[in-house]
Amino acid sequence: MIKGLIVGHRDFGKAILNAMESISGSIENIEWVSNDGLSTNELAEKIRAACELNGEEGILVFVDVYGGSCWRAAKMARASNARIITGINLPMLLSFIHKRETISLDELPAVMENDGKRAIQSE
Amino acid sequence: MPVVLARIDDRLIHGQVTEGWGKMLTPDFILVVSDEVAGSDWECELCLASLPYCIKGRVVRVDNAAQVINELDEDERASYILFESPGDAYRVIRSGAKIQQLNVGGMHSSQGKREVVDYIFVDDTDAYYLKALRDIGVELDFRDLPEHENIDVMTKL
Repeated sequence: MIKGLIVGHRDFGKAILNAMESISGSIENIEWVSNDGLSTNELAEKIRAACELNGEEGILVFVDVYGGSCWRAAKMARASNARIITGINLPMLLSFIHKRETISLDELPAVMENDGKRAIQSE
Repeated sequence: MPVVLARIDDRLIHGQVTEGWGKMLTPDFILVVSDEVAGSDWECELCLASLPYCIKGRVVRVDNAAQVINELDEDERASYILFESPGDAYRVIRSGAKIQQLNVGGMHSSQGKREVVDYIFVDDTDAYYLKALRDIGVELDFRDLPEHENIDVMTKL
């Protein structure tokens, strides 16, 4: 199963995962890391370590802000088994849980981008 | 325009700098001083990709920084200067960069460093250079965001 890793500012990852679990019940193979107190290099190291653990089937790294320090750290981790998607929202995460066992790691980021954007609607 | 913010922050360009300080200081230009970033085209690109569209950026090596900083005085833009560490800032100021005030806003945790406040972690080298900066007359301001109080960190080093 493709693993999910949420990288965000402060408690972002913990909170969005908590919110997701309140909707769908407990979720396996998904973790979060925070940038709290960490230099970009240190956060990159933490992301790399998380990618190496149980990452045999690949990791999708969800980042809160494109262009931010969390994004830069995710890029600097240079984990070969990981792909990165930014601008995570709950519908994107929900889509990941449903699709991660049927879509390949290389195709997942584009699908997540599409599903995340599709959930943004103005009325 | 003068330099509106000189700051030590190992995250370099990030939200606190562009948004937190940016909404008050509205910089047009950010100069990043880092041998590590300047030494790799890929890291330069990554670092500058974090900039909002309205702010331009440039990465320079520590050795070249003083000259570039002093030329900023003649520039029309409001500029930031970002250093990765107190040691880099000290070297640049000692080689002639005109910087009287330095904000210390992000020295994050890494191996062998001790916590002073939750966004400032130091080892002996950092402590040495912070004291050295103070001793050559640089006014140090310890805060991550402008709305926070300046914390007296020097007594805790």
